[in-house]
Amino acid sequence: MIMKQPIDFEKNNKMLLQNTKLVASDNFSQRVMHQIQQEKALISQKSSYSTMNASDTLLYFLISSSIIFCIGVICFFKTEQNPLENSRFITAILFVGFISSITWFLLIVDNFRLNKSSKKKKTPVN
Amino acid sequence: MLQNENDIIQQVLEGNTVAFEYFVNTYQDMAITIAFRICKNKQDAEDIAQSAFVKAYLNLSTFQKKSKFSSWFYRIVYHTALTFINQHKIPESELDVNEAKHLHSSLSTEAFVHQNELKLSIDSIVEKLPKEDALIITLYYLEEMSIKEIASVLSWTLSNVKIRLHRARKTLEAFNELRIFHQES
Repeated sequence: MIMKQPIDFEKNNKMLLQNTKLVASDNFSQRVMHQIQQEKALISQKSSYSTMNASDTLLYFLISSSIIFCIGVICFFKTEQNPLENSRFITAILFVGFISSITWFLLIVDNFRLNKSSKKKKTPVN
Repeated sequence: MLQNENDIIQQVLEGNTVAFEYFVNTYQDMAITIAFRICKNKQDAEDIAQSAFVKAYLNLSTFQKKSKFSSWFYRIVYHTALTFINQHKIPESELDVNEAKHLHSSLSTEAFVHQNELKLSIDSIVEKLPKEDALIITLYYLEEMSIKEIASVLSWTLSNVKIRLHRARKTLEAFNELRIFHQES
């Protein structure tokens, strides 16, 4: 009488599933590493022009102040009167201030938008 | 090994991109297999795996070293594959869920045997399982993951994983019985 051997299903299942494992194509890892290098280059390129910090704000303030100062000096030598009493000088100040504020505001909004999109990209996945 | 992986992760985070190749070489086959269980197409599976590797690289700083890198990475692969099939409107597994529930019983019937003349292969059985069931048995048997780890990869409850694993194992066992029966006869 032949005794039927107990079947080790767990072992069999593992063995069977081994045959279903797929193998990556030859250049798969190169493809992945190439894309990673590209992504890395893109990120460093983005970050090089997207950061706006306190020194940038200070620079804008200094530029606009120096423009206003130059206009004041020109105005003083041309009209020989206190620039603050000259309506044309006040108009020029307001114009320069307005342009600088708009530029600064746009940069702040753009910076905020870039930060928001990079945060979205970096959503934790674990 | 785990310590070694943590060291490599540290190297990658310090800017050594080439060090990431270790993870690509180690997990590429399993990543493609997982993606294939979901999308059922090898080319798409490779694209999904590639995308998952890039995501893993970009989000490596968010990896908490409490869990295994593999569990964390397979979770990315799984979610990338789900996003892919949703974007490409790939239909669910050809097998109806109710049909799958009874697949293990139907496998052992004589009619089924004659009808298919044993052309059944393990590939077709795994392919006919609902995609999550196929993925669960893959992770359980090939990666030897615990139920807790599988639940973490799929973001499922433990009981749900247990039920699906039980069902998939029953199907595999039925297939095994059938295979052994035909080897003996």
